[in-house]
Amino acid sequence: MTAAHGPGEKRPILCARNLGKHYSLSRSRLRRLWRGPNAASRAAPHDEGLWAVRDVSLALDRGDAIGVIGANGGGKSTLLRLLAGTARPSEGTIEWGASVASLLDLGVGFHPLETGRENAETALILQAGMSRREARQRVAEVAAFADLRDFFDRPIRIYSDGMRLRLGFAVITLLSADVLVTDEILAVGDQGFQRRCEAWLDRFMGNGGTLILCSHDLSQVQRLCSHALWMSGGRARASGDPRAVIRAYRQSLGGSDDDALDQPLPGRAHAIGEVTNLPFEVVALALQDETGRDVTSVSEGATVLVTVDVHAPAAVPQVFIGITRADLTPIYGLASDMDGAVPQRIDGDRYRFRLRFSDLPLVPERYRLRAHAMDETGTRLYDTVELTFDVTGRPCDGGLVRPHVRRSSSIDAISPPS
Amino acid sequence: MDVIVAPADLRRSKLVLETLVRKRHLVWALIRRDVSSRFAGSRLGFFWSLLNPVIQLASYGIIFGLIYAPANGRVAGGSLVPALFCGLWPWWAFSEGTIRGYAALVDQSALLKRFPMPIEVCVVAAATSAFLLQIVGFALFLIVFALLGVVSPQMGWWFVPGVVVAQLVLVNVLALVLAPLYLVVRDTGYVANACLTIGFFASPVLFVFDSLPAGLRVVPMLNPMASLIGLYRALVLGQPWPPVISLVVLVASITGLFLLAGRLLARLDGVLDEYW
Repeated sequence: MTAAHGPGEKRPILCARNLGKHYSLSRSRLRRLWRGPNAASRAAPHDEGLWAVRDVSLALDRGDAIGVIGANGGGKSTLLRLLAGTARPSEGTIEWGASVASLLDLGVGFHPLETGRENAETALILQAGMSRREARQRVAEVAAFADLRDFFDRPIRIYSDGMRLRLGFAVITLLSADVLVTDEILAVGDQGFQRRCEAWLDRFMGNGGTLILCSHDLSQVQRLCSHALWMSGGRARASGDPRAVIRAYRQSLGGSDDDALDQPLPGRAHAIGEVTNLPFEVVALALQDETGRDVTSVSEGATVLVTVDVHAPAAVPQVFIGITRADLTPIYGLASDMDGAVPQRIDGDRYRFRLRFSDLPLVPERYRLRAHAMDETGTRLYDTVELTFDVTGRPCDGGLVRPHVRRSSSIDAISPPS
Repeated sequence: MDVIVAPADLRRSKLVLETLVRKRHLVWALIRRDVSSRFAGSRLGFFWSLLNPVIQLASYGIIFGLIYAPANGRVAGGSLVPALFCGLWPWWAFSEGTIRGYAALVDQSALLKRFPMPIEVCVVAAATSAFLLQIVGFALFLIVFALLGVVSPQMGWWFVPGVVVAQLVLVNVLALVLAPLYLVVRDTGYVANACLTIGFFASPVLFVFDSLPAGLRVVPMLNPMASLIGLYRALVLGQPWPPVISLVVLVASITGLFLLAGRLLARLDGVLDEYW
């Protein structure tokens, strides 16, 4: 995030200058009608009104993620509505250099008596500006993401809240917007669906998408956002590094001692070896070759070992290991509880979880290896550590992985032995 | 080169047209959704929308055809029911379209609060869907009456769609004027409904121009719906054309309302979002 740009500077993707939104408290709506759009500046002396947002300036570049935090009534939602274009500022200007998708209330506008498919089609036309034909063609992608199976062709009045939200989020994934304005991301559906949403968000951000997130979940803001904006009384109290802004906000709430405030929040990515004092903390992550030597570059098809050590004084942790491409495209993920595997206690409160990849099928590229420390139930993510590594080998003609394929013109040659 | 800068109101009026063209897919989607949602869960669906006009048509037919039959000897064209049909049904379309259109911003406030949608799209979609439903009913009953021999098909029928389009435009510009007013001041709804009731009796729905005393004929001429009803009767039943002055009033009304809508929207664009 940069300050609102001046003349001659590179134009940001979204630039708001001195934004203000005034709500009149005058009981006379006719008088308000008469005063028109500049009501705030021409308000009658007795009508002080309410400035829900005032003097807020911000500029977002491509790939920025800004979290808007603050207490209720601080102006967060109004600011989001202004940035999403659903409300007009009473003063100041907003310039959008890109398309904006508003994700302010998933599922709003769905008709209960229409099917998920019909609602998705309408939503694509409504939100993505697609023609009906295009919406019909692409609704299959919504169906695939929402994964509602037979329910997709049933009236959504019989959907659970979670199913409705899944449908709403699935529609969002098809919007080719550059800026996503949202207030409830990643609170959708069950755990599996949340992971899918996270993966989509990773891809969105990896592809240069810009996120404007309003949330009371400070850990989410710290985990997802590169900048934070603290709104209070309609004004920007602080903005900048999420950690510093959140600390200031917490202090204003009469928060805990400074040591605790200095701790990275749950789920915060940090460097290997950095002490966080989280209840579930990744303290070591290593990628090794067969001889046990740490490596950052491996040959295609090699055998590698992944070792994750988690410090967990309270309970046996769950460990999630993921491999993504450098652009965050997910390749593979595995949770320690998937096969009933339990991290082994190796020393006091330290647990170790190891994976062995035989004949690594990744194509030559740069990758990220991520280790996540979860609580004992595997529902809450506390800590994330990642390292990058390269796979070397002959160039690949496409795809993410190179599975073992036998090529032959004869079907007998590749049939399994009888 | 001198550049003539159009006033803000005119620019806003022009923007209404541009927006409607640019967002035509959205308008159409909202119309479809409005129609389907109105009849969703109903077994007879569309036919319920025909019920009220049919009841009114039958009621007025009985009242004026049987009870006050002697007083209706002056209905041009000779047949009461076709004349009523060509007055009542277009009036219903006008009334339904206007009411649904001006209420659209209130009805769709949840959507408008979350999606940046031009308000003209919302209003036009609601007004058009309600209007078209009634016009479809009109067309259906026209065919039925033709099959029953109540009316005789004639060349003028080919030009009825043109009148329908003119009426649709009138309905939409009126709805665009009333919708922002209704959103901000709900009393607008009561006033508009009262005006529609007065307008019904001030339009030649239950009478024809010729049946009025000479001194009163100017009153319906100032009503744009009088011109449209006259056109329907002329084209469908072969009755005399409405006076030219009423056609001028129709064109002037549409133009005036369109400019007024632009003026209102230019004035209120910045504050309307406070009311949804």
